[in-house]
Amino acid sequence: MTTVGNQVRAVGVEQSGIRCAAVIGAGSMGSGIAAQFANAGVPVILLDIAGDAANRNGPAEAGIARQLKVGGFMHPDAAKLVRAGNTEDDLHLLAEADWIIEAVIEKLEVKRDLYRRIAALRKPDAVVASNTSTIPLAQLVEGMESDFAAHFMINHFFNPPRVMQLVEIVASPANAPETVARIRNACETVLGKTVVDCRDTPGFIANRIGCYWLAAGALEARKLGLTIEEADAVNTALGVPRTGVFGLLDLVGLDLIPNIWGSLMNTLPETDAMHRQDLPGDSTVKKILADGRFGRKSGAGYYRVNQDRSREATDLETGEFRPETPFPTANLPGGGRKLAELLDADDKYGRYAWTVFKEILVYSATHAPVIAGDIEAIDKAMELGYAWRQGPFRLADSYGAARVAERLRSAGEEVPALIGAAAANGGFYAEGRPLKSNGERAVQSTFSVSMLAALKASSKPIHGNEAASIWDLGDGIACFEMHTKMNSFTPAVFDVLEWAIEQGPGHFRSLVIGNDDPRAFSAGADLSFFARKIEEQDWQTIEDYLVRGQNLFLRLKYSPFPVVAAAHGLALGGGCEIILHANAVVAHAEFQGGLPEVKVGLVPGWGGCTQLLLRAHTSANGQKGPAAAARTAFDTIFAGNPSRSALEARASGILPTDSRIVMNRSHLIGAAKARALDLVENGFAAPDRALITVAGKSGWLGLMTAVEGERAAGRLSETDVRLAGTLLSVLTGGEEGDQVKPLTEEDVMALERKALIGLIRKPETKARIDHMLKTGKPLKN
Amino acid sequence: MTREAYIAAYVRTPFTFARKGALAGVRADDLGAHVIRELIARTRVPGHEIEDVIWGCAFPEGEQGLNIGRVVGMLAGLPETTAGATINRWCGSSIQAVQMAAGMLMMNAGDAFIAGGTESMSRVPMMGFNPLPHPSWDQQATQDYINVGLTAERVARMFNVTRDDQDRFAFASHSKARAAQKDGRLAEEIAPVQVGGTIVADDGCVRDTSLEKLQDLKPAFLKDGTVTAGASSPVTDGATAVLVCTKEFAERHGLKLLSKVKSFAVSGCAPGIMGMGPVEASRKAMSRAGLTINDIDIVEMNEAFAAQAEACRRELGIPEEKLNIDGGALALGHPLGATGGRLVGKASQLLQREGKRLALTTQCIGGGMGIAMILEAA
Repeated sequence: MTTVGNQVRAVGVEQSGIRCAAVIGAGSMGSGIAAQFANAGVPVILLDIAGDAANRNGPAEAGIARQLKVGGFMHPDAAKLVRAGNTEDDLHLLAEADWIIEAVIEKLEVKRDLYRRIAALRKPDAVVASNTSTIPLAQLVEGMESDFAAHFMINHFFNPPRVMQLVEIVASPANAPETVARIRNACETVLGKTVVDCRDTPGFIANRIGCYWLAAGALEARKLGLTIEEADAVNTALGVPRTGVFGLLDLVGLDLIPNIWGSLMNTLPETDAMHRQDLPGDSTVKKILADGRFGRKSGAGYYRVNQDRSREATDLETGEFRPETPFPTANLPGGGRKLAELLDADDKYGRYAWTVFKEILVYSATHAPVIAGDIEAIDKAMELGYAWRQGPFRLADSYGAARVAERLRSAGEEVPALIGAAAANGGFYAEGRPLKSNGERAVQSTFSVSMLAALKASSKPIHGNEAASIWDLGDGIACFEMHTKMNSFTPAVFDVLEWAIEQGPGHFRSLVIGNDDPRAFSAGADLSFFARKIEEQDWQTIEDYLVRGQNLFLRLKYSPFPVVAAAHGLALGGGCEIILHANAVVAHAEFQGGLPEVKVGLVPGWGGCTQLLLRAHTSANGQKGPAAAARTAFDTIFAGNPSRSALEARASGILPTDSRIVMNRSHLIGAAKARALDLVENGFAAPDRALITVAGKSGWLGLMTAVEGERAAGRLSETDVRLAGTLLSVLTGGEEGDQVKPLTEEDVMALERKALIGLIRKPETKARIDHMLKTGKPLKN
Repeated sequence: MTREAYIAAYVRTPFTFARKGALAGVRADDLGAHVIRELIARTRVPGHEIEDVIWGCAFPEGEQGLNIGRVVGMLAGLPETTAGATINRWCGSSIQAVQMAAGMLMMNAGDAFIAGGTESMSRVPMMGFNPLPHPSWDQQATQDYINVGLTAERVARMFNVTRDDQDRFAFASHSKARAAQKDGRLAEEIAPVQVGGTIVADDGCVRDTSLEKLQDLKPAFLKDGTVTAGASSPVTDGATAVLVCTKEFAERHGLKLLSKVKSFAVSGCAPGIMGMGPVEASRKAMSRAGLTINDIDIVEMNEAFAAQAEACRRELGIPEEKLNIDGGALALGHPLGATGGRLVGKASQLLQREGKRLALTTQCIGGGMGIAMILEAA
């Protein structure tokens, strides 16, 4: 049996010039970066120090194993692209690499020694980059030969590298612009990251502002008499992740506080406000460290979870543990949702929120001219490196830049020039244009946006309504964009799709299905619609809706123009089914697609069963035979879990094996358009009509045996078993199914419909739907 | 003069866990060819004198399809003139293969046979890739036929084999196998397999365990049931082969005979209690040899599940000290089509090693059957 490997070279990798990468240092950062190269289908060498004689590559292999465990790889097969080695025996391998990233211990001499050895064997054009977060570029390259220095820069990644979007690039005057451009493009295209250009200043941008925030957040909480639970809730309401300040310090590791802040305070001038936020000098911090409480890695820090699951929190005055008192953000002024109400509140929460917010904003505005080209660089760094909902300047715009300036003035505080400029000129951003560090308005944002976003800002759709639009992407390619809540399907969405199928050929040569929603490609059919119809017992409307969706999706598949799905984010149920009917798929690497219908007591009804069964028969992966194909489709549908990556979706049949994968979300629509152009220019013809072999009653019985076994073992409920039986009857061709009588797609779709109509009348299905609508979680019944 | 069938040699691969074990990457036919080559090498029997390769396999499809009995002989380098057949009696396949060789020999249809079997449960799943039972069966009938774990639960209930009984039985099996492995008592029968750069020489399923660990396991097949993974034979990869021949053939080639096939029986029972198959089959085989259980010195009974093996032991009155003295399938593993060859081969070796006279080999078979063969020391 041949299998299609789950290592796919992502779109743009070939053109990036990165044919082989290398990472030195297999700690969590280094091995995570290596994994991300592998996720993009790039062979990567991962070196660490030599292990003992039994396994010289042990340390590097341990790094790969760790990434397999923590989910750094998008599919376990991708790990096969990582070649483990050690810096004693295998340094010569680096001669293959186009991009060498150093992620070893933060010791200048260790790094410089390594660079000297790399300099001797690196490919002439290869770039060497350090992932340092604390050592200035100037010190790293001091005394290195000029050609090495010309190819050396800092690429600062964030942990975990697969998830965190930010890469800070610090280039030097010695770098040729095209060298920087090559690495910037590779960061974006190959690794899917967003690059923020930084200067060679301590902590660059994200950690400089981030450390200031953490210190101010921790120290002000104590001063203003907030508990750590209250302080973390306030910070969460300001838009930082739920860990807040103290939870994040626990995560980072409290033992690092003296080093990180020490290093910043050593390198920053005494006039820098960082010196006012002396976190290592705080008596509570000192006590916590003296007690050996280093955060999550040592089992205790500011917070502690005991063996009996009880939770404790630190009293900021004594440094001792006391029982945790959870503080929901809803208890804050404005319910934790209204920023202005929180910042204006005349209580300790309001005062703390304002102080923390003001400290970050003033510090950012004061230092922006030195550390960043424009304010957006700082906002992006915090949004992508620290996962803030909004960076300090966007947050200030939400509150009102003028209001900030006014409050500062009335309190007799100095107003930094940038805040003054924003207050006077309609905010830090106007029409998406940020202020530059010198206070002037930039002509446009320096960050790339999706092709669709750019188009929407400057033109009108070809056709559309309140639920969906069709945009002209140029070159005869159109984009079908849903814009309902979570992009779920409604009859109005179908109206536009119908128009596209019928009128499309007069307006475009190919149709891309996609959108820029940050979360969902499409959450599928609107569940509350079904709930209403069940309540009304209006089975006919449900059936009509099913027929309409099935017909539309099938017509899409066999239309004379190619349909390309630009798959991303969540694509559930109907959202996944429309992708299953596309002629080609370009998917973002972090695609989460799946058919979760069983979780609400249903089976896929817009062709999902049919197309997955067909794919199980025709794909190169998987076992052949009527029951085997049904089992493959069954396993995917009955599990009901969305994929955790495009590679995983491809392995389970949700995406076709010839899907193209895009690492950078904002490149997706552009790549889908390119794929569409490819298809039209290479003589696209609609696929031939398919016939599907089914296993019949016999296959049903065979596959049900495994299901019954699971029930006996207590792993499936009666409802699960009935649902499995119904699903299997669709996948095995129903009562009349016979393996010598293949069915058309329409035949299997009719079975889907019949199954769904039967299931939707059942009280246990209604219970599952109601529970899902109420809680967002599946009901086990 | 009545012709008599003897077991003159026995060899097997190491048995290793399916999917995660060292032999998961090796095809079933390669495993089979390996033990045949080894059997020929050890006995120095000229291949052209082998009448037939009679080969057990429980799921002869995929890589195990295409009449694997013929394929393994060809791959092993036996001459084209030696025939090959695949025998499928599910778990009983390779005791059946020995019987067929003995039967052919006794009707003067050949003097020497290689009997054995292979199963790669890694590469061909139990119940096959496309389970397609007869559509006239109902759920219960299909369950009883296919879900052997549940039949073990039923046997445990009907014959009052408690969870504790099963854990203790399993612990004994694991302990015996571990001791046999440590003492090198398993090495004689094993033909190490080269996989890539490494030599796989030891059984992979044999492991240290404790009664406490076994007692901690959750039921595997039935909620609130008693049968755990530790008291069930693991899914396993492996192959076994024995040489079945006449006394004259052995003398001509200077082979030391191990045992003589004395009697044989198969029997049927309700599919839902297939684990009890050995009882009737053993009684029939003993009766045909004019023996009672008291005459039997060595018993090699397959341990599909501790529940059924213990129930059969009690029903047949087998003393614990005579049963599976080097451990059973709970510890060693149960590569379906290969297991019968191990039981016959092992019993034959044990008769010699222990200086005993009579051995019973027996197995339960899914679908509700038993199989048994009596061997007498040669």
